[in-house]
Amino acid sequence: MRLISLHVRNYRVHRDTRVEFDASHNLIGGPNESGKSTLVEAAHRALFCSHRRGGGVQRNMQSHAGSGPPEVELEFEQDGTRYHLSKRFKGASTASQAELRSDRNDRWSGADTEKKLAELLGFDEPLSAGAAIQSWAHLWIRQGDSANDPTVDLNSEQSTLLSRLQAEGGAALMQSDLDAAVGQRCAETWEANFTSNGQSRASSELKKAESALAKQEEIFAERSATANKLESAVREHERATRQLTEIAKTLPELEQHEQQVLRKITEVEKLQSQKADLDRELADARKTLATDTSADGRIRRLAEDVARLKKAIDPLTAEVRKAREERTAAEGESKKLVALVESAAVATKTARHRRELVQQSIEQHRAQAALHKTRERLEQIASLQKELTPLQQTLAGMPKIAARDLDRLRTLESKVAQTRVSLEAIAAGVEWTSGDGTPLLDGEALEAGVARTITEACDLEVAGHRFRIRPGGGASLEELRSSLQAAEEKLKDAFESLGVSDIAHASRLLEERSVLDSRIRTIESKLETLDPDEARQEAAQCQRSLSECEAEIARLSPLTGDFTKPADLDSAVEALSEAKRLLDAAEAEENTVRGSQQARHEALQELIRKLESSGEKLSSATTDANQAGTQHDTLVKEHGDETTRRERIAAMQRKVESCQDREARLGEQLKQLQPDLLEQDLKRHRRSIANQQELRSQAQLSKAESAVVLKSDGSNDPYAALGEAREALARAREAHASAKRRGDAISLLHQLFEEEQQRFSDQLTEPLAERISLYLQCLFGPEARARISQSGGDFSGLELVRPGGPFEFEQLSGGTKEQLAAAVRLAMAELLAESHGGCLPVIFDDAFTNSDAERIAGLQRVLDFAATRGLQIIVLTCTPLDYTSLGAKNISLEPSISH
Amino acid sequence: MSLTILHTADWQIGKPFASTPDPDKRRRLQQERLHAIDRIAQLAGSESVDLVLVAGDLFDSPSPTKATVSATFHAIGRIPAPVIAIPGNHDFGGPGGPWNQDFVQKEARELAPNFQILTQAEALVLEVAVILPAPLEHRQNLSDPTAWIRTAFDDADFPADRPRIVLAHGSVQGFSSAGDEDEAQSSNLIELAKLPLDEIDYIALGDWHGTKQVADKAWYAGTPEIDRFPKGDDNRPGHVLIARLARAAAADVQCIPTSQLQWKQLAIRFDGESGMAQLEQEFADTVGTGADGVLLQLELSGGLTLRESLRLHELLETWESRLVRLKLRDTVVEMPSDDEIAQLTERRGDPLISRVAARLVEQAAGSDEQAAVARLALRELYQLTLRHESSCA
Repeated sequence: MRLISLHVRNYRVHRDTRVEFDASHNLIGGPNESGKSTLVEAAHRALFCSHRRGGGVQRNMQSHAGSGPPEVELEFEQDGTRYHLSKRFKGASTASQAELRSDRNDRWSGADTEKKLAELLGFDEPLSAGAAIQSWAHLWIRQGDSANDPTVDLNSEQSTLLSRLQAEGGAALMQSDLDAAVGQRCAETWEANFTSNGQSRASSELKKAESALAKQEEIFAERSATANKLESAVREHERATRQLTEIAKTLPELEQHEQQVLRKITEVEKLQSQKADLDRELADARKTLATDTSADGRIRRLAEDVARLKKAIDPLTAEVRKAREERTAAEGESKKLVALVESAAVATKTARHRRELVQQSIEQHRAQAALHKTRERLEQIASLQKELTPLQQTLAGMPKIAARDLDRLRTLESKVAQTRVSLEAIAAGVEWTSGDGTPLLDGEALEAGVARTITEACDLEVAGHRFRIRPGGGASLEELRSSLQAAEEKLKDAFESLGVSDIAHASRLLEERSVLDSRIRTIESKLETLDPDEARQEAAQCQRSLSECEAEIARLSPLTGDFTKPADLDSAVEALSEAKRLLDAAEAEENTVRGSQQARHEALQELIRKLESSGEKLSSATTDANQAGTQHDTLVKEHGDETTRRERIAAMQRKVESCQDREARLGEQLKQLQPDLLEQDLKRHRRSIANQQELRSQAQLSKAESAVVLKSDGSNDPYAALGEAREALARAREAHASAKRRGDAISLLHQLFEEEQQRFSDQLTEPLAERISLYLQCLFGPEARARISQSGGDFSGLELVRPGGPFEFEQLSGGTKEQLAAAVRLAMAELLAESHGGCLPVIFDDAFTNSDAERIAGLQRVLDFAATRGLQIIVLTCTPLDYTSLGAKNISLEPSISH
Repeated sequence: MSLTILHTADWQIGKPFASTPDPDKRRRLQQERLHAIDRIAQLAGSESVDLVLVAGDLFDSPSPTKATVSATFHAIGRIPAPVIAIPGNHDFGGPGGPWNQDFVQKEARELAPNFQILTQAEALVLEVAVILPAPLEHRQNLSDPTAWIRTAFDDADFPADRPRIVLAHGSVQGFSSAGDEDEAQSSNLIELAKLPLDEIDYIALGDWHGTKQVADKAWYAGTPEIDRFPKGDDNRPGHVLIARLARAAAADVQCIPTSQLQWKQLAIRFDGESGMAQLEQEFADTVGTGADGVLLQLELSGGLTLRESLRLHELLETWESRLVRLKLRDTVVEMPSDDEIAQLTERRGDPLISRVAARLVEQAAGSDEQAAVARLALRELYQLTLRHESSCA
């Protein structure tokens, strides 16, 4: 089929649009909304949609302008015949029209038109509403569907495509019904036995055989164990029985051995007892012999000792005697020296007293001189004090007035005088000169003519009239009089306190006191110089020293013997040095004598010690000798005399020898019996007996235990059961092997069928893949190929094979998807075109929106190649400039045209 | 004094016949062994037997079930003669063996007063004979159980008027039950030559399941009811011996068949000439329909076409159900014929089946497991194809 022209009226945006198609290359350009897709839709509706179709589909076709029903006229050619199709879409109304005319003057109208169209399009009858919309979706590729997996389209045209492909590939590759039925049966059998991943199914014979085998193995193992247990028990019973028999033989032998050893041990014990007795006898004999020998030895040694000690006493006695004599001589000498020392000491003492006496005499003379001097001074002081005392008494009897006191008196007197003058100056005189009655002054009747001086305020009463008189104009006269009285009192007090009558007296007294005072001070000064206290102390001191000296002299005088005290100081001093010299000489003499006496004393002490030592030695030697003698005598009394002793020792020695002989014989007998080994033997035999007894009881136990195991209750026969299990296991193994082999055979058959079916499928799809590859090579170069598989008629697994690939469809980018899909659709269109007079219109409605400019250039090659292979290519695009190299007929749609 | 004995052995009562899968058939095999005792009882009556001697393996197992024991002694009790037995290697006399079990002794006492088991190696002097038993104490006895008999006559003073019978169980020189199924053994050896044969009149042996005279006075009675597929032509099981004895006289021994079940053998190698038809013919000749108390050991080898192989499997299923037991040793290989191969691989109309068949034919060459699997698959494909072809047609 090839489109020739399309004329659309009142169809959506198109009021009246006419398009003439090129036989192979068409490019319909126009901006969006210019009605490109609508135009294609109108052609599609004309071909596939019944003219009586109403509802939404019909409404969608209607013009926006609303001027008349949509009308489509389509001219096309198929198998050399041109057809003119016109349809008016007005739903179920009679206004709907359809007419088809051929250039061979055939004409169809109404329903016939639809029938003829279906025939021309390769359908058995007009399509249903739903199918109509989807028809030729693989050829008329709308924007948005271009990148969809095209195998969906392949499958929608499955039967047509397959018959085309079979026609191309040859009939030999078609599987027959028998093939299919047998293959299906194999698949079913396989599926009944195996899961999709090749595992045997639970319900399969193989699985059952496996389970049965496992079960039988288990049963066999179980029964083997039971039988083995019985076999073991048999063996154990036999072993225990054998062992009991052996023990029954060996045990009495061992017991016999034990008895033999016991007898020997008794023999050894007897011999050992005898030996012990003999040992005691021998020990006693040896002990007696030793005692006797020892006593004899001691007696001999004691006799020797006594002789030796006695010999030693004589020289010691002589020595003591001599020492005593020496001591007596030394004592006499010592006494003489003691007397000498005593006399020397007396002389020294006397010399010392004399020297002290002289010394005291000197002190006495000196004290007497000092005392004398002091007494003179004291007399002088007493005379001065005698003079002083009356003077002091005189002074003390006079009023004690000082120059200051005189000054104060004078001041007080002056004040009295001044005050009196002031008072007298202000006094008033009153004199009653005449009148009746007597005037009263302060109640005192005045005498007429007698003047009275008033110095103070007073009341004058005259004839019943009383007058207040204030001399001096007020109180001042009164104050003045008080001041005078005070001054006078002060002066009077001053005189009284000083003991004077008046100032003159005071002045005189002051002068007398001054003279007296001067004289006293002179005397006191002299006394101070003489210092009476010190003088008195000195005198007392001198007196004391003198008294002491005198006392000392009195003490010493009787000790000095015939000695005259020096009369004066000078002779005393002289005597002192003489006394000192004599004392030194006496002391020297005393020391010399003392030294001799000391030496003699020490020598005497030495002699005494020596004497004591010799005495002790003598005493000790004597004691020793006596003791030794006593011991000797005692021992002799005890052990007898020498002859007796010698006989006894010899007898004891003979006894010892006899015992030793007997002991040697006993020892030999014991050695022969080997007592050490006997003990071990006994232990060994008893151990063996115990072991055997233990083994016997173990064996008895073991025998009893195995007998219990072997005791059958007769409920089953374990050996028969084992035999059955063994055979059942063998059968299960055989069945399993058989099932396995059959399972393998089923798998193999199924696998081979699948492989061969796949091979057929591959051979079938090869022409399609080859065609697609040709288109792909236009885009991706000479190595590009397509791969597609088919199974049971279903196409799948579309792949683009090129360097770095293969790539599954879904792995590809949007652009490459579009291109691969286009290649598949063109190849498919080629195959399908055979049924449409070798040509089909393929429409790409903005189908390459994801492809870049370079690829679109390649795509033009693809489209051109498709056109050369007989397809009518119609490209709708809003970018016609992209397709300038397609060399297509350009049809421009402008939006303005349709409106 | 003349004496008639019935010499038998290896009753193997209670034998499980475990290799027979079907429990009913197993039961039948077991029951038949008990029935053998009844047949012995009949013979003992008809032959006026004085003494029945069982030379070991009366029971198959050292631990028979009570039911087995009761049934056995019930049957023995019906024998109209004294029955004397010794323990064999299966029912040994020592610990773990049946003869020590209380219920065995009790049932023997109560149900078979005529029965006596000799577990001790000592002479039993009867009114009619002197029995010299060689009981086996264990399953495997390393020393000759008859050794004691070598000196038994040295100082013993046995009555001179009665025959002396040795009753023993084991293998004799160059002759044993070893290899007779699975019982390989080097124990229980009896050295007949060492016995004081002049003092002995008859040696009643057990263990070898065939009936056979092995020395001048020594006989294996064999098992009275066959219990295994015989090996070799000289192995004649399924009899008892009736021996007429007298002291210092040659024994008159008569062999009487007693076995009920038929143990048959058949071996065929399929090659170009002999195929399924021959097998069917030989089966019919040997066992008839196979439904009449027959046990068959069938050895098949060689190769069969796919069609014949399918037929064989159909047949085997039938025989399996009919026979008391089908012991099959099948090494037959599916060998599709040229026609069959062509039938599968040269199907112009069915290219898929052809391809798959061709690949299977390729894989089926060889003797490994993979090839066996491929052959099986090929047979399966053949069967499927034929079935669908016929249904399509």
